Amino acid sequence: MSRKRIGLMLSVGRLWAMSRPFRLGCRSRTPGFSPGARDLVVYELRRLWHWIYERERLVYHVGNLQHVLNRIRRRQ
Amino acid sequence: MKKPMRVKDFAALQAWLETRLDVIRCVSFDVFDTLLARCIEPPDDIQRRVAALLAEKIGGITPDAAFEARRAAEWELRRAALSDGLDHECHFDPLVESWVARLVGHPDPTLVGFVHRTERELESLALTAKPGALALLEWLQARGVRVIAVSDMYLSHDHLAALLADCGLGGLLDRLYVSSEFGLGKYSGRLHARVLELERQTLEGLTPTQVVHVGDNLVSDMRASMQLGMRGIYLDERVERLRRRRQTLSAEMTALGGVWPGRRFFEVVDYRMEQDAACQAACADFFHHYGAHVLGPAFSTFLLGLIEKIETAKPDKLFFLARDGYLFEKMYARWRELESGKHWPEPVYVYASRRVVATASVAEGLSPEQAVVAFYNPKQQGLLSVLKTFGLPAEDFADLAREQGFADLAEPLHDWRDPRLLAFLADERVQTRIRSIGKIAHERLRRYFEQQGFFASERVALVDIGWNGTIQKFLRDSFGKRPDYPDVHGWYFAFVAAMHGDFGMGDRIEGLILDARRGDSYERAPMDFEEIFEQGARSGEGTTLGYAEQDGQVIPVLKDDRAPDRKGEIACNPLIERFQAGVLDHLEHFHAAWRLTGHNAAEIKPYVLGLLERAVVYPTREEVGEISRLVHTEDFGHDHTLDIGVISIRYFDLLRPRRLYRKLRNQPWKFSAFAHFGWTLPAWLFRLMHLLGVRRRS
Repeated sequence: MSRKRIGLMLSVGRLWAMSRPFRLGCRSRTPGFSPGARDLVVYELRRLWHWIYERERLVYHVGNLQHVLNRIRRRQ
Repeated sequence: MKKPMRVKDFAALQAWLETRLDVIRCVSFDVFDTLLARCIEPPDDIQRRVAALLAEKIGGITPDAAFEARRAAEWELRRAALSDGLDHECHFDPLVESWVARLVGHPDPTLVGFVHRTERELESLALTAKPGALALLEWLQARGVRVIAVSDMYLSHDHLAALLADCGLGGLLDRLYVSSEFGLGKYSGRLHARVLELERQTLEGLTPTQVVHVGDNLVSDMRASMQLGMRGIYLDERVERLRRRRQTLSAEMTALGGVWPGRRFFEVVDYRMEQDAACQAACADFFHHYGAHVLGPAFSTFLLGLIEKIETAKPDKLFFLARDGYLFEKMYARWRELESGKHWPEPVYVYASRRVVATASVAEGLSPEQAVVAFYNPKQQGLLSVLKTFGLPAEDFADLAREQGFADLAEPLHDWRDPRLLAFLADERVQTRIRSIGKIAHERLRRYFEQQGFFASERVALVDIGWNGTIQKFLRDSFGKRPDYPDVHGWYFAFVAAMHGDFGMGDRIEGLILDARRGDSYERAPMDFEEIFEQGARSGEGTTLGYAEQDGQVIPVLKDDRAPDRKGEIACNPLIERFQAGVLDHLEHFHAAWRLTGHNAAEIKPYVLGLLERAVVYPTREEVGEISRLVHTEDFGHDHTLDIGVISIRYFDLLRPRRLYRKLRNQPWKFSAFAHFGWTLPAWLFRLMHLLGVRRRS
């Protein structure tokens, strides 16, 4: 089986999409497994931010740049 | 100072070290997030959990107050260290003593011991050696390079050494240095300097350039060590770092309730399962994987709910009903082992089927209201089903049935108030024959349950997959008037209350994952494919047909393995065993995650319902193909096998929704028909249509 099997982790977007028939079909009053549209957006935006902005890596590259600049300065 | 250096993983680190082995004499590692990974983030959550457990033990203190007291004790120790000219390090031993004294007002060695044990246990559950760490340490050891570990940590040296040993790294480190023992931290460079000084006592003439320090913190591990002339290497594992951030984000989201606590909980379980090599290897098999990833979360959450019920109701005994209570009994036994310090009610696996209790329940005769249960099956065969449901031999009643106009006993009846059926049941000769059979069954059932200690208990609980609670109902009908009839609770995986409602049991009967009385439509996935849950939980033996006497004991009589439906079942038993091995694998990690997070069943359940909805309504082609191999038997009034197999539908069928709905309505797994489309929209639309239909009917 080349395709990866579905495991324990379902994406928040998928949970939200699966919960729509309950909202539309049953007008369920309980939240069930729906993450809620607002919370879904909050979660995904924060996740995206974590993915883009990595302080550790940024600090490393700044440090590296400083090292290179120091070497150039010493040579001059 | 040398150029900052980073490596992306242990393999890259090994490749870098390999070319420099002639100059490197000592490799030093950071411990947390370098050699060891935590399955739960942020790390503070372990301290919060210890605080919650301590608050529970002391009583009268909230977990937050207990945690704040710990923080206050820690800051006091850190301030004292700074005023002594050391770094702001604190040691676990004085911290715990001070913390406990703050909470109870005096030193308490018992509570101090409890905190030490609990924190050690939770850290051990949370930590695993990073993939590749073990291999690299072995590689270095084989090349004669000295390997040490240096950690900024409040735990003691012995405590940390024990944790490393638990993760299999204990014997691979030549020495371990912990900041709490020295009062010095890596971040200031003072701990690195002290380590160099001490290492020189072992490795004569060791220079800083001969030492490499590897860690995930740019300041403590790379910059501070490089300032001393050591080679600092930044371990830059992006995937691992993002995983930690994602888990931290999930932990923040748990405050919102709903699906978030469960999602966070299963992130912990998932990470643990990923790190478990044996579990990963076993999951190559479809049935093991399905057991571990679909049935495991559902059954483990049910078990957790059961444990909470036990703690509240405190039954004397738990009766796990054959056959579908089989896996639950095994799971309960394992939970008892894992939580061995507590008192647990004794489990009893009882051979009782709906058929035997139904036969016993007619000792005083069979009423039309009782007979109606035989018609809850699309394949019902009228009077024959009624007789089979109550274990009454058809041949004994054929003559009397013919007198009432039944030409064919197997003719389906679409109205349970059919005049022929009512006349048949009103016939005194019929009732006399029913009573004589019922009384024998009643007597044997009584003796069997007496033998199992049922009537000697004050409060008992029946545990089973559930659906209608028929056994509980018929037991009450048969023995409920006895003065020694215990207070019986029924705790089921699912309770649909379709056949006889809750028969006046109220909160003494409950479906822990699905209970139709709650009216929560999100819970309905198990109802849309009951067979997979029954199959996943069942034992390998045949159903109980009755009881016999042997050496003064009442023993169950099980269905003969030569019966045609049993042959199919027996052929499937190896597949069921693989399902169950997966569920039990899941339970190990589920228990660890529960110890670490402290989430209860109600908090986890919304996410589990999402997992079940995905598995039942949006299965993959592989899932449908493999699960269709299972043979499901119906043995309550109908001795036949049920095809879980798939009906094939085409896109054209989607244009005629009503016809499609009618076509699939009575299929055991209607949503499997959409799996071959390869995308989820058709199943999503059918789910919507199905829920609208359910709403209209209700």
